[in-house]
Amino acid sequence: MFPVLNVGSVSIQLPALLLLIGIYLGLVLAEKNAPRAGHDSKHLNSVVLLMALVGIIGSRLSFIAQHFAAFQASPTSIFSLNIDLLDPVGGFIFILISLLIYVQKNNLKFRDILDLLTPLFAVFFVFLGLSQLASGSAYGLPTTLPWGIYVWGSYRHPTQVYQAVAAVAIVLAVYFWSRQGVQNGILFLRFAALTSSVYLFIDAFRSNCPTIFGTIHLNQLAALLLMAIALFLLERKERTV
Amino acid sequence: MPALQRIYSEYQDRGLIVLAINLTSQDRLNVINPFIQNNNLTFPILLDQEGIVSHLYKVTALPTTFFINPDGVIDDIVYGGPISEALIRIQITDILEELP
Repeated sequence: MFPVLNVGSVSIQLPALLLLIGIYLGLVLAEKNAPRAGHDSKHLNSVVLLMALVGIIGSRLSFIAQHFAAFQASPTSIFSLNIDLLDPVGGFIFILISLLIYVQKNNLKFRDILDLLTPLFAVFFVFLGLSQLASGSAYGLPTTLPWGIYVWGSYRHPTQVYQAVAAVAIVLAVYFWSRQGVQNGILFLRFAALTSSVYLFIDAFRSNCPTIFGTIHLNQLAALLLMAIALFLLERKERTV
Repeated sequence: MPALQRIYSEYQDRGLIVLAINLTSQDRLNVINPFIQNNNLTFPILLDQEGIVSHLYKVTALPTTFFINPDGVIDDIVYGGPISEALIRIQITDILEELP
């Protein structure tokens, strides 16, 4: 756990910095891959800029809506740079809506945009794991295994490292498939199926997960659902290609 | 600090306790009193003269804000500042709701 990087008198929030590095490197890879995979990369920067802007504004608006009384008492906090005042789920919904509008306005296919963004998503998940390792979130169950890391008072499964390592393997797979010219939404669906299967597996070692019906991890249920949808669509698409 | 003071004034009657800890082992004693007076702080300011508290709480950045619930369990940690008033308000109201 290493939440803050002190450079002289400046304190940098390392988890946020790692996420930004992930987005940047993902964008570089996506830009490189786009022509090779038969995509037009001219939309990439616009889409990423749109996602960043809408994501930040949307996640802040969603957070304000959920805690309206607090912002009514402190209106200047609306413009606070604090990243704790963002709602990721709300931001994701705003991004999805804006992408659908962008796709429609530019006569594009949604599946092509998803394929175009898949390398970015893949690299982002590597850095999401590292970011969670730095912040100490998404930590694992206690373990006596030799690779356990000391977090929050005991030796635990380094679930964030498991995620980052698995995500690196997915980046390599995505890179290989995109060089082969896998497209038509198949690249994204393969990525989604792989990533959700990784979450399904790793979440079994995570501590402090929200549960449903007492024992079932909500994240695992969501991952299972996403994997089933991705595999179903993948099977249909692969059959028609 | 001004935001923390405003919220302390507002919620202290409902049981909110604010403890500010000065890392005296890294600071100068003569700057503490002017800081308290300039910001009209009324909550207790404790002195961590040997760095024991900062070591126990693994403080790696200043300020670090710990939100501790009535059971003594850390609910959340916010690294760096300035911390927004709305965030303090949300955390405090969540914690105060846990009070019997």
